[in-house]
Amino acid sequence: MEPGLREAVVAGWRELVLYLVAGVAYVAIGVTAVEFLFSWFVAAGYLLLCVVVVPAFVGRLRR
Amino acid sequence: MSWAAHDLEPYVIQKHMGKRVAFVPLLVGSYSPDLLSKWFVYGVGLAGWELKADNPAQFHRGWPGVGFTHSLMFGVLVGLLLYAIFRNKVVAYSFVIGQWAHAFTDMGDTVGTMLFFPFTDHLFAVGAWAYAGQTGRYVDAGAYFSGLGFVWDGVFVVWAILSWRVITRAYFRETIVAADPFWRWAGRYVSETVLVTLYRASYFYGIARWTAWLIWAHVVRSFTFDFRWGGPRWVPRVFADELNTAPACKCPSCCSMKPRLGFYAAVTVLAWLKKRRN
Repeated sequence: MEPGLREAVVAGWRELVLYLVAGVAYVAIGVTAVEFLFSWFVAAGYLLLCVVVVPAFVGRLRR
Repeated sequence: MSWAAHDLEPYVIQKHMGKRVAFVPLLVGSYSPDLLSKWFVYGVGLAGWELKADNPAQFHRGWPGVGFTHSLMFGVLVGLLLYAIFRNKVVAYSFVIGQWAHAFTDMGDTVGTMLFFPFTDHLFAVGAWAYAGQTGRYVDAGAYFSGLGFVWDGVFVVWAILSWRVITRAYFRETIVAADPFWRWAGRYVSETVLVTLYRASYFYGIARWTAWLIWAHVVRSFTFDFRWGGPRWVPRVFADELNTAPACKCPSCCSMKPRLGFYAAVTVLAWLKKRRN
């Protein structure tokens, strides 16, 4: 049986928080500098930085 | 034109079609009509020169111009090309579905699309929101997020959120990777986390920039909301009727191109159908 929304959120809450923080920051940057909003490549690079590169870097520093 | 629907439509379609579509060609199809032309519609500055179409609406959606990229036949021809290259039916028709979704969505504005090009260059428009690409990207954004256009995008934002299951990691593993050869190929070079992030990028982009443009248009700037049909009416609008009734270009190239393209397209489709029967 497929998991419901609650189960999915509980299972991936850390990832969800990362995406939400990245989204809020993206909106804030975009509202102040709208050029930021025009490129898909900028958005994809930004997302990779926020949810893959930075958490991996922080994880490595903690070890 | 739409500012977020083209990012989110593929996820909504994916939710309903599951393993019967391949996500990357679906997404590329959804972006394809504007992929190489949008910069010339809005114009760019280059070493002191401004490169911009003389008639942006005509260039973007009409003929002569690149409006054929918004026709149903364009999707079919590129789909056939993809089939010839990859020999994968799912890849081919996923592109067609994505491109058709774009063409039908763009019918919503006042210029519309040449759906049945090359058989006719008539622009079919619903006319729900203003086409204002000729005013430049900022005024166009302000106008779009002040009329029914952003409401239409909002429908897809809500629909995409309701389709949340498609962006889970489990769905990516079980459905997306299984149906689309791109991810299996890319998985040999990068980690699953990177792939899932790239898969979610357009979802993130669509929802986040829809929110940002809305705030920019009405909090940072003060564009006036106007939800009347074809609005907002404060922006200079272009209508399909203006382009449909404009005198056609009489140059030999344009005069012979339309029937020629129609003929080639018909021959291609017939040849493909014949091959399928054999």
